[in-house]
Amino acid sequence: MKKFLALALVLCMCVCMSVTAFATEIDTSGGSGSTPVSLTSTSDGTTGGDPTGTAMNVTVPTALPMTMSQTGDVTTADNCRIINNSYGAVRVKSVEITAADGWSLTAFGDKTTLAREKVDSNKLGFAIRIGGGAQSATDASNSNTQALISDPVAGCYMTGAGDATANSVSIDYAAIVTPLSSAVTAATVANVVFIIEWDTAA
Amino acid sequence: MKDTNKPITHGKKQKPGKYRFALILILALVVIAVIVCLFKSCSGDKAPDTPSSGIAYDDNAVEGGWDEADTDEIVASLNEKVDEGMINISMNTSPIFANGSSSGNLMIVNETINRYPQVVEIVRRDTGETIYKSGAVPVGKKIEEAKLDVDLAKGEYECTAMFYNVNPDTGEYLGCAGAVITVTVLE
Repeated sequence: MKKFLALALVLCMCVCMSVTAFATEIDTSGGSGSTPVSLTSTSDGTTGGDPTGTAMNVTVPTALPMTMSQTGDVTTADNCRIINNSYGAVRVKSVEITAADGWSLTAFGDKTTLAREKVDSNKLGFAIRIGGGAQSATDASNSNTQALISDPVAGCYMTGAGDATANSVSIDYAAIVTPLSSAVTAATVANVVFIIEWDTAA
Repeated sequence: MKDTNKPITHGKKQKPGKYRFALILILALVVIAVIVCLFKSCSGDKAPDTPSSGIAYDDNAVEGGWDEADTDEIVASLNEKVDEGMINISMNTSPIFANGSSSGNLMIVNETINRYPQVVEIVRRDTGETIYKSGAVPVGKKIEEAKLDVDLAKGEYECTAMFYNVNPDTGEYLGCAGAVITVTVLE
């Protein structure tokens, strides 16, 4: 037991002495030295591993379903979210909507704005709100593709996964659709694409 | 005289009785007719079926208008579709390539929480050129390294990596999301 304790004490002394040995030599009273703190980021966390940045890992909706009643009222889902599972903070860089074949984009507003449209004119007005921020909606400028968000705006920012209270944002969406003379089921009328990027300090 | 007068007297007295009986009979028939008419008109179901009414109601007609489903039920069914369409995108956002023709550390991972195989396309943001397109990556598998489809010159390229959910049976793209990445070519 005594031998073991002695060995432990020797090891402790060695460690203490080694710290002194690695420190910058200071030979004057009040002198200073610097010790570089180095960092290597790799895929496996080892110094010899493949250099990589932090892995991005985000869960994003690719389907924004909706139904329309006989009177033109559109109902949408209420559980759409973007969830950041990454260690680092991310933000929504942009959101773009593209009309599907046979459909065209029009200005979003009250459904009564479509009262003068012909039945089966297949027009869609769409609006989205991310993280409780400002609503972005389609207008009449382009019937095929429109940028709903072209730069990060308030509500688009998510913390890293470590903060479970702020690492996701809700997505609220609404639409108006021109009347249909015949039934459609799960028809794709448009595609919305979310682009995510790191929320960098720069 | 008495005997001869009696029949005469008797015959004169019988006439009012006959009229009274006939009158009562007619009144009784009229009352019966009225009662029958009233009964028919009040019974309700008979009248519409008579051709004389001019309209034949459809036995399939039921009470009510357009059915309006419960909004909560509609939203719940839509929420299920959102869950089915969620995509997890995971990759190295700063892949490095020794040169334009060598492999780089893309580290594209189709996480096990996903439902569909993924196809990943990398598109330059400045030119719109597609510089890489993967095959379908099964759920739970990854592409650690791969070569670009284009021999890029030395430099840094801001790109968008587009992740597509793919129908495993038809190969049809079901939806997509993207991430901004920086591709670096060292030589």
